[in-house]
Amino acid sequence: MAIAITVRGPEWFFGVDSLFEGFAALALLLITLFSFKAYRFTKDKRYRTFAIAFAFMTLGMVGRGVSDLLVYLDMQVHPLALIAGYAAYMGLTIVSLVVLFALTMKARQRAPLVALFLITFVAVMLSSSYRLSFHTVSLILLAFIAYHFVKNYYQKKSLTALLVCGSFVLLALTQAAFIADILRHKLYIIGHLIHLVAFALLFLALLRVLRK
Amino acid sequence: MTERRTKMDIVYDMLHAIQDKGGTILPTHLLYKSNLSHGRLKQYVNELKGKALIAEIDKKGRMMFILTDQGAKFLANYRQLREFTDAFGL
Repeated sequence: MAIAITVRGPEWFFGVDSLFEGFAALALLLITLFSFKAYRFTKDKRYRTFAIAFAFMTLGMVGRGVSDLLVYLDMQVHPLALIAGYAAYMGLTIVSLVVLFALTMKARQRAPLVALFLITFVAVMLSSSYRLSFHTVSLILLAFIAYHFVKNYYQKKSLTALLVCGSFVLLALTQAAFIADILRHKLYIIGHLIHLVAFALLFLALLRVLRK
Repeated sequence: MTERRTKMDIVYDMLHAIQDKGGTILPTHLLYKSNLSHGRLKQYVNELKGKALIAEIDKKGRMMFILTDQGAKFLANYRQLREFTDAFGL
């Protein structure tokens, strides 16, 4: 069976995307660690679930960053290793988004969420255009999550809530940019730039929390 | 209608009241500031003393509560936690 990996974006951008992903992974890791700290402090399961969601997202981002870096460095690795990296990114991101979706929607029952994960995961992995499916599924889930953060900002009216809200709205937009890129081949860099700004906002939000 | 305070909120209110008074507070002031009944305050005070978040001292013949370093650390952690929880709407 032939395995094909499509590398997107201009050649000069290879490596830069890995740097962006490294920064995103760092921001995600810090949120994961803070959530675990919050869980240890309160023993409240919400923080543990939140930490698990962000831990999955962090691992996924590391998987993608490493795969992109291997492509950039033109290392002679087995294509399966690259596929594993991208598959880990997609799988772990979907898990984390489903968990975040459940948490923000305050869903109590597990069975519908497991079903949602399996449906989205299988739909992405079995799709002939897996990237398109992945970004579309992510866009849908992120739109719901971002909606929660927009509502939360209007309730709390704090700058930190605004940063979080802005970050998730931009993350949803990033998915839209990647979908547009697949269809038109022009928005890869714009998608990555929005991605970077989204994680910078998340990073700033955490800095504001830590300054308290 | 105001939301019911969690145990952690009550602990925060008590420690914050002590910090607000410069680190030492009279039991009657703490009772007033923490908005608890006498019985409940006593329970909380015993718990906070047990966890070394506050301590009892004698100041010019008057019994007072002081905020310990651990209590101050708890307040700092709680403030961060509240900011985090509010920011993510958890």
